[in-house]
Amino acid sequence: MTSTAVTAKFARAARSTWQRVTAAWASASLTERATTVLLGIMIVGGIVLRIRAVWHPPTFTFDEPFFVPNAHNYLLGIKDTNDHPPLFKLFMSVGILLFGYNSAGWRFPALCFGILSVVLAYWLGRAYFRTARAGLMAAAFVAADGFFISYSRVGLMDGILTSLLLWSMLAAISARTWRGVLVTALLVGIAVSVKWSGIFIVVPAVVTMLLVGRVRFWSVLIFAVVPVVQTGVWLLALRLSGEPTDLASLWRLVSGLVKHHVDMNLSTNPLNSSWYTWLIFYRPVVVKFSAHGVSKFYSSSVGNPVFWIAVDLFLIWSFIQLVARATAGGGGLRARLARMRDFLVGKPVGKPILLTLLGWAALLAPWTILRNKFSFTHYYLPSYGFALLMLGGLVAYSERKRPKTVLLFVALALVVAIYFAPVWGEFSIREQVANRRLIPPGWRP
Amino acid sequence: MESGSAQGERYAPSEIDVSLRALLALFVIGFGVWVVFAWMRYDKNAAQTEQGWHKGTRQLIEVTLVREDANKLACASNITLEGLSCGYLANSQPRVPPPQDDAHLLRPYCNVKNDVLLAAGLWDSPGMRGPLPAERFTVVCNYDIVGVIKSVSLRFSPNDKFDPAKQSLPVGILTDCVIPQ
Repeated sequence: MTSTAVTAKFARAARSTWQRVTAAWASASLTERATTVLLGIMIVGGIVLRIRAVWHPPTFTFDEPFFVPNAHNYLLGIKDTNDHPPLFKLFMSVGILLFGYNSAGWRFPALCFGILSVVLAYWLGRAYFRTARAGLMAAAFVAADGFFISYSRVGLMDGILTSLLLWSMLAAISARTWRGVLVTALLVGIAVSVKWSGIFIVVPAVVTMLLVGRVRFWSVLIFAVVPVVQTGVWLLALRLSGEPTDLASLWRLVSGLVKHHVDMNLSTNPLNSSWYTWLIFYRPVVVKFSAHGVSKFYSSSVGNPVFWIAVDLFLIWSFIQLVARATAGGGGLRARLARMRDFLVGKPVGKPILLTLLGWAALLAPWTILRNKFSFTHYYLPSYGFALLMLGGLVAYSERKRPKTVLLFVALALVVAIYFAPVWGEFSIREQVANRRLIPPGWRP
Repeated sequence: MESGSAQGERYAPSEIDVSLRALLALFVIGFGVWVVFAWMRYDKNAAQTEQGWHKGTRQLIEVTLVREDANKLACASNITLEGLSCGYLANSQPRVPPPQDDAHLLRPYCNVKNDVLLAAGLWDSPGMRGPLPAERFTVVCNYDIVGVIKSVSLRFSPNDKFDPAKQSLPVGILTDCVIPQ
């Protein structure tokens, strides 16, 4: 395809998108238009909150010392001594190459992927729920949530992992043939090369491809390329750092790291929190904190309470509905199962919600079993991304029947986001002002 | 919620294009962030640290010295990097033949932030040829980094033993040295 043809294709796509946007605006009610404006403010405000003074403080914060010097080591050609796969640090070394060995350089990749997550949430919400409105809701919710904002502002890998997992699921839901499966598998391999826990995306990805794309069952075997991608990334990293690049050395390195991670379950940490506390943000980490005199600067990873409370209420309501259908109404096991099935495939649940819930559960489940003692709230970030996608679909569905209620919900979420913005985006504030937002002592640094 | 509807069909993305579009979005975002960083003068806010040194870069550094350091500071290593080498081998014996001049002889220095570096060329620099202060003084130089040495030992006095460096050290050439007035 020539560059002229590509340009023409993009021009057509842009024109078509613009026509759809203007048509949707023209056909929307006044309430829906007001909701759209608020969603737009959330997206723009969320991106501004991610970028503004991201380089502050110009020193390492939270876990950055574990990653940044190792990213720099790749540029020096010396050993990476960190205990995670190398890709995140290679991304970070690109930032350091572009901007120098400073806080702008080492936070650049997390910021780019953090903004990309907003775009991916739009595409993924639209693909799951087959309506652009759900995509817009999901993008706005990801944009205006402190969990995502804080991990876009710090040189840590969880925001990048989440973005790559959303990208993988976007590829999975779009897959129709083996080529789509291969693209998905390559993306999963890239995500796993950032952090091993990303491998659990394979479960929802495969289920989604089989149910939505109806790909052939054998094509799932293409996921065998995931370890090949990881091996390739790791060999490249070892080569850059001047370490042995034979497979035996790599095996020794990887098996040593696996043992190290298993043993970590016996460790303790004051920021440790169990998986079930993540659902209520019992112990979110302040990933960046600095002080100049009485001025304090916070970037707390506490999510937008309107969103996580709504998600939790929906999960509790769904659980109660399932239990009620299983226990009430009489009939045999078959009748009870039929009633439960009716709830799951009916409205407002249905297949798209079940698929997003599967993503949420698959990325949460490992922490309930494999490492349930030495775990932290940020492990919940990828899972929470799917929870916000689900919420976006639910709110978009509700808007058709109750547009004013949805307008109130979105307005409340925006007001809460504005209230929390100073402790998400490192505004200069006094400690007592921050404490009015970070109310539970466990939310404070 | 509208699966199977006409609207849904219109939004069905093609399986390869969707990931290519995401990749394009990532590059566009990266470019946008780069523009915003430049516009907001990130270089004034995100200060360079000594750890930012990497091969091929030039750094302005400030080194603390006493004039006797010309004869006191030494390093020991078998490695020669871009023609630069320590005055001693790893076994602490003098290198034979010795480095031809000060411009090729590596010595350990501490900058004002207590970072250790290996450098050649300081004492031959034109700004150092006049009478040097009797007390401790600082010198500001351009430091061109040519590489990093992992296995090297350092000595800050002829009476001391060579002590292995605890970390990799940058290796480079000091030029345009001046004593700030």
